[in-house]
Amino acid sequence: MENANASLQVWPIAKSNLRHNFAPHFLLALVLLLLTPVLFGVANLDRTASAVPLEVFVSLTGIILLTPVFQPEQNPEIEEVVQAQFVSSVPVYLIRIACSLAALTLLIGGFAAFMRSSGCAVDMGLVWGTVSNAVFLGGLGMAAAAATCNTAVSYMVPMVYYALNFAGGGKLGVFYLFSMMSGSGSAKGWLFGVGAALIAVSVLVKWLARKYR
Amino acid sequence: MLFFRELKKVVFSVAFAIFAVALVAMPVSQDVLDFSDRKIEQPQPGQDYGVQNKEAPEVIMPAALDTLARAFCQNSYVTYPIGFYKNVKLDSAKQREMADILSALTGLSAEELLALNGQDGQGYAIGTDDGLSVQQDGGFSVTMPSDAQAGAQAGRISLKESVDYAFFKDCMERADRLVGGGSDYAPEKLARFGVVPLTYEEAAAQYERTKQTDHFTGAYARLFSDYLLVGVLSVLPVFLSVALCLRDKRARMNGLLYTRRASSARLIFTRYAAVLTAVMLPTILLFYLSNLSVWGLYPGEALDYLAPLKYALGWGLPSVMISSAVGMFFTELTDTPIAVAIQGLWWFVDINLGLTEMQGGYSLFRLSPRHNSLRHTQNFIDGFGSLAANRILFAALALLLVAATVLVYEQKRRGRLDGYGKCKRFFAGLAHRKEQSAA
Repeated sequence: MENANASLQVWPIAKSNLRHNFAPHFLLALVLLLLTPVLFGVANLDRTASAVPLEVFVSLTGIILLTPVFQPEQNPEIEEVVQAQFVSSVPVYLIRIACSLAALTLLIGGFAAFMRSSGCAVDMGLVWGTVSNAVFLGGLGMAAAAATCNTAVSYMVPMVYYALNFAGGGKLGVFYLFSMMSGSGSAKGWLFGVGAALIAVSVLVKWLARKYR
Repeated sequence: MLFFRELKKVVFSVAFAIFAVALVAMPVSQDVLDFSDRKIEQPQPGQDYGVQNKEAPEVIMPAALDTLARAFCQNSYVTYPIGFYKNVKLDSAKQREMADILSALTGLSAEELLALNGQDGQGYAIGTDDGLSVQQDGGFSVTMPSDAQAGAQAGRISLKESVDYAFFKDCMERADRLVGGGSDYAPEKLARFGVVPLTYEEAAAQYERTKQTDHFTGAYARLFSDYLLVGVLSVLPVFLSVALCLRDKRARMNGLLYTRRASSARLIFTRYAAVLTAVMLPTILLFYLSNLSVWGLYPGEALDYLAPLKYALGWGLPSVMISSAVGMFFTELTDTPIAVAIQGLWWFVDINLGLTEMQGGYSLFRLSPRHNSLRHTQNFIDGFGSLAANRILFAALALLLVAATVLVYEQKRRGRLDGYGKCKRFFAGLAHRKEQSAA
């Protein structure tokens, strides 16, 4: 019975997140994807050329969808209400993260399918690499948000890292975001792994911050 | 004093700490903080002076035709509409139009040319007699003709003798339009095919211009500006403005600030001045640090010791102004960090468009004017008027945005504007109505 009640909580939390927090960010991510074919050519590209829009532009959906996961609590009024609640906020964060990751995968997968239908040589490796980039950039944003509780800084950290890849990409080793564009991309597992770890650490930081406040 | 209080808020923020790290990391990663190993040497007779792009029709016409004919045969046209690679494939109607263009240039019939489609140009030797062709990056490659190609010399694609340069340019412009723009066939980019060696006289004249106009230090300050604008100053100040404006909301200070006696104009312009000061002081310091590294390289020469200051304020400040103003305006208007997305997208498109103007491009709407070279002072002299117009336009636009921010802030103070709150309530209300009608 308890389990049934617990499982029933997931949908209302997800629904509330979709309505009050997630929708504008999802729309922004969608706009970014709609802009991609305008800015880049996405027809009849070979594998290396297909990696350009995916790594350079589509990866940014990670910053848009994952970074604002803790944003509602950065509003002092909401933070006070959350503090007063008996229920732990960790499951709420996890549901929000799951929503963002699902949307991320859906958007990237959908865009890759669109490219494929336009004659591009997009395979699962490119999709995996793009999702890894997005998770890493989003993880950086979430970690910055958890550590500083500052909206501007949470976007600034992944953006600075992204710009750094243009300036001195090769020196970043396995954490280079644009490796598939240069025909490589074998190290994307590192980006995904560290991105996932950053997401986990940021949730832990938020949990500890609430516990010891 | 209000200014110093705002300045303290900016300087002692996490956003500023990250900005400061990026400000130093950018020139270090691009190796422009220390120029001591990059002395501009006076050319001596008998040296290799490198190559240059020149409007030389006798070089441009065969090289451009060579590239276009190959692209036509493979129906694969390379363009860079916003700086990134785009491979354009034309439909049959447009390929037919392209065949007509090539036909006008070569004398071959459109049907003969269309028969080559999908053949990768095999069977036809394209271009110059010696197999020398110019690559996209300006380098040369030599192709040894195969037996099949050698046997097909009669059918080679080459320019008709009667084609003059004006007609050729017109045809190339049509070809560029046909592939959607952004190709090397555009008239302003055709000179990329004109790769010719630099003569001693030209190299010596270049050196003299750097000496007389830039007084050496100007050339280094210009290159430093180029890197710093592209990587830092055109985009990161937006974060400082957004952080500063959202800080009041987070600290729930808005209500208190709204009731203060200080006018909205004074508050907003002081805040804006604080952001600009916080950004520009370390920037000017870095400009001088970088420039200092060459002051000992030119003994006896008249150096311009004010060049770093001139470039920091004249070249860099307008970009900092617009980036900060975008941050302030959209944050006050919406109470969200949407300015980050707006400025980020603008910066992204601009730096990629700027790749086509690396050696001195000063388009009117270029957020980060480019001059990625210690040479090409002549480009700077020629384009100074448009550069000045660009910088004045951006500074004026920034001040207009700040004035608009004052108006927005004033309306919020009077309780007539609620940022993004009204929109949020509207959408939430819609959702509730939907639920009620379902019930």
